[in-house]
Amino acid sequence: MTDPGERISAFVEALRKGQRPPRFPVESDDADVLRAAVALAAGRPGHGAPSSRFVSQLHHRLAEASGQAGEASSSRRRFLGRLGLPAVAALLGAAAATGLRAASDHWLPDTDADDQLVPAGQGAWIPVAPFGDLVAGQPRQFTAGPINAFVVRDPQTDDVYAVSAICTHLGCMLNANAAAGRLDCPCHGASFTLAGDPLSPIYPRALPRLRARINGDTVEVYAPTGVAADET
Amino acid sequence: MSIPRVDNAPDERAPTPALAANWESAYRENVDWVYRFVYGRVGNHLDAEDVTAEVFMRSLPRLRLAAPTAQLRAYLAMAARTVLVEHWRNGYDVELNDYSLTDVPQPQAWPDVRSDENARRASGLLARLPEHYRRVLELRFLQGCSLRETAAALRITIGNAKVLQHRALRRAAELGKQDLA
Repeated sequence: MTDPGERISAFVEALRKGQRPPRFPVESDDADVLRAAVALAAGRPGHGAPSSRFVSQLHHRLAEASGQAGEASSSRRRFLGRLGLPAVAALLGAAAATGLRAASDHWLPDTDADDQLVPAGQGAWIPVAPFGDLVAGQPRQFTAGPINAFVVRDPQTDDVYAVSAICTHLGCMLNANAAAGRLDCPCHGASFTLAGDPLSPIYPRALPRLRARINGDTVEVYAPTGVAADET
Repeated sequence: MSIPRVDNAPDERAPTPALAANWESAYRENVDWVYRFVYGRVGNHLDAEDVTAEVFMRSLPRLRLAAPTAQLRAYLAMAARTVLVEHWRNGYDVELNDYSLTDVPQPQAWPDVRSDENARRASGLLARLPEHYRRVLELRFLQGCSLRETAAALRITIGNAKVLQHRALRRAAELGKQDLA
């Protein structure tokens, strides 16, 4: 569907159905057409107010962020501590399967890039791949129990690191885009660096990290206790 | 009207009777109009929620400063404009820097001025179109008709309804260039 007219039609149809419209590059004239469509769609009487669900979810997010000021790096650990690992693990798995929008704001706390998905003392090192099998800069996906993640061999340092493969926006499974050096979300266009840093300011939460290390010839990650890794 | 320079306002922390009590009340007082402002410029609730959330997350430090109400509104409007520009840049690879801040509601008009703002913009745009263009856009956007229903209502083929919609939107875009900001 490369014809601009068809794309604009799809954009209009999505607006009419109350769906998120598709993204595609446009010229300035076509952008004016999209904006006219947006203004008309938004003019439908009685449709402009935020839902109470959204208002309270955003309040919740702001409260979390507000309480974390000055101690942001420990926020995730505290959150995980409150819930307990099995609960978090189950939620992460469920989200990977369904990408439920309503649930996401509650169980995905704000994260910092240097924060860890599995806190020290609550997991174990498990092997995920032979180091020699990893190609520098090409993410290798694996699951370890409820955790779905990418392990990456850093082309500069030859060290390894691991980040969650679940988009922090709405919980969709990310795709590795090795050619572009990115992790891309197929749902709404969010993308992240291989290290998990957000590339779009619209979806600003970094991917949670897992600790990873090279042990002899094996790459290991720090995963919840009692799980084994599978490459996917 | 020039863009308010709220960042350099010298009386930022000066106590006035109109200070927001805390960030939560500042949020409650402003979330509705920010959302409606954003919704009028993205046209769907999923994007409106993402953009609005981003606006408030970025503005949280300002929300916590107990700024005078009018300054906070100007700040939020500027943040909304910034995130909207990014929304169009990231999603559509286009630079749109004309999201006007001139219609940030004045304190005395608050909060009624916002509630039908989007409907007013849409009807203002439709009113300037020729009848056949206005009709197809009313059916499609305001009444939410499918192309098939629109074609039936206008007694034309679906293909022609699609072409008519396209031409009508182009005309609306030309007419609306100024007031879509």
